[in-house]
Amino acid sequence: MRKLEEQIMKALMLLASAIIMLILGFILWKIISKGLPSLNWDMVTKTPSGGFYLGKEGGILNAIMGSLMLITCSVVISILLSLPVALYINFILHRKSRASGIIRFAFDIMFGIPSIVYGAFGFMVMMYLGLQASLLGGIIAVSLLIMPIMVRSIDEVAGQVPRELLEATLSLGATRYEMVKIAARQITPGITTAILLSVGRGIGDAATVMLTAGFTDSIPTSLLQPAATLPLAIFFQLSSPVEEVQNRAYSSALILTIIILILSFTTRYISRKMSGSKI
Amino acid sequence: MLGITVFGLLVLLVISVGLLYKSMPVIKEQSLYDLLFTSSWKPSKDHFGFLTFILSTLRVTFIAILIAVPLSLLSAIYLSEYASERTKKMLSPGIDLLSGIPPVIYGVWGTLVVVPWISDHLAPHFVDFSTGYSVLAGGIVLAIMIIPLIISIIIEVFAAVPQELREVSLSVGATKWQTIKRVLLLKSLPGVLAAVILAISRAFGETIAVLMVCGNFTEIPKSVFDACYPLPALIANNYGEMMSLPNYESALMFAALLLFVIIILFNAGSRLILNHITQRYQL
Amino acid sequence: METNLYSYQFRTESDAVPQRSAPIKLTKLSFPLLRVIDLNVSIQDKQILKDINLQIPEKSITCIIGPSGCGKTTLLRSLNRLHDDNADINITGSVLVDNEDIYGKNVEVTHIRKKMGLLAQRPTVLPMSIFENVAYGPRIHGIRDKRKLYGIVKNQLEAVGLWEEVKDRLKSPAIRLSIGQQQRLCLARGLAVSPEIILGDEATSALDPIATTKIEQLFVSLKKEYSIVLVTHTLRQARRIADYVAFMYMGELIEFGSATEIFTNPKHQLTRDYIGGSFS
Repeated sequence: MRKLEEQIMKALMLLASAIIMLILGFILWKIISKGLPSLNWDMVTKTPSGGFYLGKEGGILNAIMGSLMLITCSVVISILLSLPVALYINFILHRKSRASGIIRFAFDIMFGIPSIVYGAFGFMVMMYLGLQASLLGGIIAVSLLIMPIMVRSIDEVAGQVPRELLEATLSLGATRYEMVKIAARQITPGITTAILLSVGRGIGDAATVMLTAGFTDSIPTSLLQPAATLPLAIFFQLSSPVEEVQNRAYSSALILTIIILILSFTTRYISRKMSGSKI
Repeated sequence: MLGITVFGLLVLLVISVGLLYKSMPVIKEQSLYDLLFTSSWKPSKDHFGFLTFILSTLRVTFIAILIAVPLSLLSAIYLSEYASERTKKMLSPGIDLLSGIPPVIYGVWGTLVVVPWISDHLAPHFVDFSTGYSVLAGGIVLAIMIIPLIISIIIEVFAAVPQELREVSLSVGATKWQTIKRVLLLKSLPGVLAAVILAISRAFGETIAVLMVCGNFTEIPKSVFDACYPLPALIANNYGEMMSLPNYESALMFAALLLFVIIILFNAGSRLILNHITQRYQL
Repeated sequence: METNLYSYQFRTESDAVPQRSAPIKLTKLSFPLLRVIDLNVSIQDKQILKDINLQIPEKSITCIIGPSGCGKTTLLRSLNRLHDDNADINITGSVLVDNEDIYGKNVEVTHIRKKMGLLAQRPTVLPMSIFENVAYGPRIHGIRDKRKLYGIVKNQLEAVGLWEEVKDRLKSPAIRLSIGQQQRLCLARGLAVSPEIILGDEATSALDPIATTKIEQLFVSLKKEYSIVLVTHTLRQARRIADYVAFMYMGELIEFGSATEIFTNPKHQLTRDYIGGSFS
């Protein structure tokens, strides 16, 4: 009886795992097989020329550059905001104190807020400041989106810093501020992982930039110009009735996937190195 | 540091106040009840009923969770308790990797594969006609999008359960499955629930992946093969025109406020329940 | 090394607390309940246990002693087949319980484990009530009748002397008990599936002296019905309660004999040095 139940459950588990793996493999394969034929050097080195959306010459360099600029600025801003928060709730306040708990809870809630809400909020702020859809607007929205992600993942690694280490530094006569600096150095690899994680999330998100960054065929030269982004490039090209443009959507999707895969491998590599070297 | 922390918390406050302020016109014009529980959507006549969008969002999320949770739970149990080290080493990077793939990619796959499959193969068995762009398509794409997320969290939760606890159960002669059912799942209940909550939040607010496959049709779907129009898609599709009509902007901001409030209430509520369970049963 | 300072102090205060009964004659060994034959255990390529041959006498306490890392715990876990899930661990040889090889081909592992109650180093209570902890085993084996379960729980809690202390709060989470009470609860949980053998892996190392005494007294009283195998690395504990002692060193079984033999007249030089405290 018990054996039978176990066998049935095990079969179900295997089946579930197989279904999941097959579908996920299928997705990758589909993106690759659809995207590869139209993938060429022009795609990543040229901006759209006239008639690009009718199937003429050009590439999506505008979107690649737009996404990269956007994510770079957003990550810099949000690391400046989230690192202090994570350090504050872990090392200045006691990690398990009530105040820390409340702050952590607030950021957990922000973590759950849909990206479209950040997009709408960013849009609202832009209107308030009298801005058009622009790189700056996108940066504001994406920074807000990834800030809670960073707080959360830095908070996680910060919890692993041994208390003895901190107490030892304090007992040597270091000030609290100096102690925090030492703690921050301890969690540097964790911070790197947090950054890569947020880059992955930020670069792939369409909803925030849709409302805030706009779309353009040229590479932005100032913060106040609109910027194209990869997810939107995929989305718009896919909506086109022209087959060649649709095919480009697939190869754009492939490019985005490749960027994400590189990020993901780097993250894994770093976290493996991290677990190897203590902490 | 305190200053920046306070700033971070203020963001939360500013978002809620800002969205509320922006949606005041439409709330004032129509009653809250009217907004939430009627379904006529006539921006040109200045009437906004959100019922269609609310129901669409709920249905798509429900289907996604219905598909994703059992599959991910079973698979997570397999990967963490039964699979050999080699299988684990092969599959877990794959899962991690896939949880990082952006929604738009899942959307592309949805339009390429799920939509035609529903339209050509599945729907004809049940209804006369379906374009494939439907509640079901949205649910499936979302489910597949959140599966890697749920699996990777649950595997972590299982790994945190002390090995001794499993051994205790095994040592009185329980089978592995009995151990999983009665000890592992009990002990990791709060963690598993937290994973599901996160998955629901993610599915609930997902925009682009759903937008691409759900048809965006302003009518309450009668079956899962009908098109639907979730809240995030509404905002994303119409933000461009929102200046053109009176109160349209306000109505869309209300949609954002709605998402925001539901997510916050849901997260806060479930957190309270989780804490209660953990305390009460000392898990 | 977690040499137990507490138990040392405790010893000097009240020397004779758990009485050791006179060693049983070796002739009883003719039908041992548990026999280990040519047991070899290796993790990856490192051999942990080498050709262990051991016979555990019935209804008595056998202590396995030896320095840390000598393979005591590995041996104990092999008896309960707890290494099954680790693909890196390779086991050859056989372990006979009631003349049945637990590493045999058609043996069901749950059946084997039911015959042995395991007491871990630190008390590991299941995340349930006190009642459910003890009732866990019987439930696993299909007992559903409420009254029957209650009877089992009461009996076993009485057997470990916990009944009077907890009878009014059977429904409260087991984790709220003191650590000593938890360990006795774990013992009761093990006994509830009516095993023949009790395996203890340094079962008192996390406890204070008073709780340790209680557990030791329990072992002494339980040996009337059960065969008890304890891994310990406090020699004093072995002296207090063992009937038989197995001394292990570097994965090998160096010497086995009655407690008096081992402690008063060990045959092997290594045993003599260990008992004498030259190394630990």
